[in-house]
Amino acid sequence: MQTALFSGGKGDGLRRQARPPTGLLFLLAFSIFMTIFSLYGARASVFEKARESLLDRFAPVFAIFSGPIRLTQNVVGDVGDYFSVMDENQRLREENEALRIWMHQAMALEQRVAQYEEMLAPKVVEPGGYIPAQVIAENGGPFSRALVLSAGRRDGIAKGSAVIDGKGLIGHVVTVGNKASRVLLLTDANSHVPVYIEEVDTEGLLSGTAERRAEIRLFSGRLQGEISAGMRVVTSGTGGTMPRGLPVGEIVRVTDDDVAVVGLYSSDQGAHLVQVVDYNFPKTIDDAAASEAETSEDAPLASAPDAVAADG
Amino acid sequence: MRPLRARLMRWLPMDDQHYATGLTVGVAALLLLTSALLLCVPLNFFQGLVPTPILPLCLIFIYGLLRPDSLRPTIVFLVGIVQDLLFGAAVGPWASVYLLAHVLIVWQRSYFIGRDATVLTTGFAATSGLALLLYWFEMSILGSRPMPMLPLLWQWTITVLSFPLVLTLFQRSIGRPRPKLAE
Repeated sequence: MQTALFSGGKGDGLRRQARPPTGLLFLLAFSIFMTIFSLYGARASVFEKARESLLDRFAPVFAIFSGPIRLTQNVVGDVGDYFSVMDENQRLREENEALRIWMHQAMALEQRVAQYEEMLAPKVVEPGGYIPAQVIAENGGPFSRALVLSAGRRDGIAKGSAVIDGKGLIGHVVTVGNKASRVLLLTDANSHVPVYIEEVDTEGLLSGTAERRAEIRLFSGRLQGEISAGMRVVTSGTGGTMPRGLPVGEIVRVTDDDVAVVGLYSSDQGAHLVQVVDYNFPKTIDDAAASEAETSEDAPLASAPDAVAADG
Repeated sequence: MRPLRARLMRWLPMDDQHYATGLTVGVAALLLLTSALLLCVPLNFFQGLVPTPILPLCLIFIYGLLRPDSLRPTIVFLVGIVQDLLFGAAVGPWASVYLLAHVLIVWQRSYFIGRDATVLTTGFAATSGLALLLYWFEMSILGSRPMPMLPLLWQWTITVLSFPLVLTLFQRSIGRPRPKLAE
């Protein structure tokens, strides 16, 4: 478009400009000050409460916004699927064959593990359940990777809970409102999740890079040669906010400075439905003892919810 | 009311001859807030390969040119803070990005009056580039390490490419610009 958008003569040139109002400059300086203050107080309770409150207030708006978009994406996706239905069918048949073999092996292993657990009686805290939630919003910034879920505190979601999709861990909950919660994805630059590399029995910290990948910095001084591509990475459970063994990804390569790049099983884009892991690790020794006593009393009987229902 | 008006003229980027009505200010605020909320909607263009353009930057630039009296700095600041809180990150970076873009366009408005779309797009590219550079700087300080430039450059490119479309839509909806800022 070569025609001038505005009628009238051209501007005054670069030398004669209007001075920005003092109020505008003051607000700019104030916002930069707030950013610097965030270095020390980003997680201050006043900001956390503001985040939770806004999350709750805007959750219905996000749901309204995302509804038509999801519908459009589904329709476009369905049309695209028609063109690849034969290939997809063949791939699924092959995958089904492989999964049947895995299923039989898993059932045999499950039986064996149950026998060992009976002999050793280990104190393992299992997840209480899984809370399904819909993704209603996501962070559209260049560096941040986060999702907003349609479930919150009233649905049983707690801060720090692991969030998984059909393939594996996608992140953990960082803000919980009553009706909605925010999930920090594994690829976010501020995400740090303790993980475990199975084949070499090593723990590390999986950190996001803001570039759609995550990498592990190891706690122990493992030699570079010991860790290789293809090794499976799962959650370690260190910290007690998420259970051990949730699938995370595979080592893709190890860089020269001993950083292992991880290919995540889950994608940080396009998740519609996720599950929040309801996991309550005992916080104190008293909690653990109470939990153990309760378990030993209720073990031969029904599960806890059933017992509560019976009491009611 | 004259002293109040004179005081407002010092604090707000108002046009000397045209005062924005409550409605136009409200519409500007609503548009800016909606564009900020759109950044939170899972649009996922092309399987998520193409990021959502930062439409608030486009709106701030266009409003700064066409209707500087309608978009108040306080509204820009508040929308930035709301976006920061909704993103769940530090409070302040997006507010400062939007305000810097606003400062730059108010400062250079008289230069852009009467220029064609190519110049305006170039001006927007420079303005948004500087504003996003501030964002990169702030996030690098907050993260205690330099953030990767690639995601930022990619989103900036998409934003600049979408600017002419937003400009055309805006121009068709509100028409001629109001006179220049009082100097």
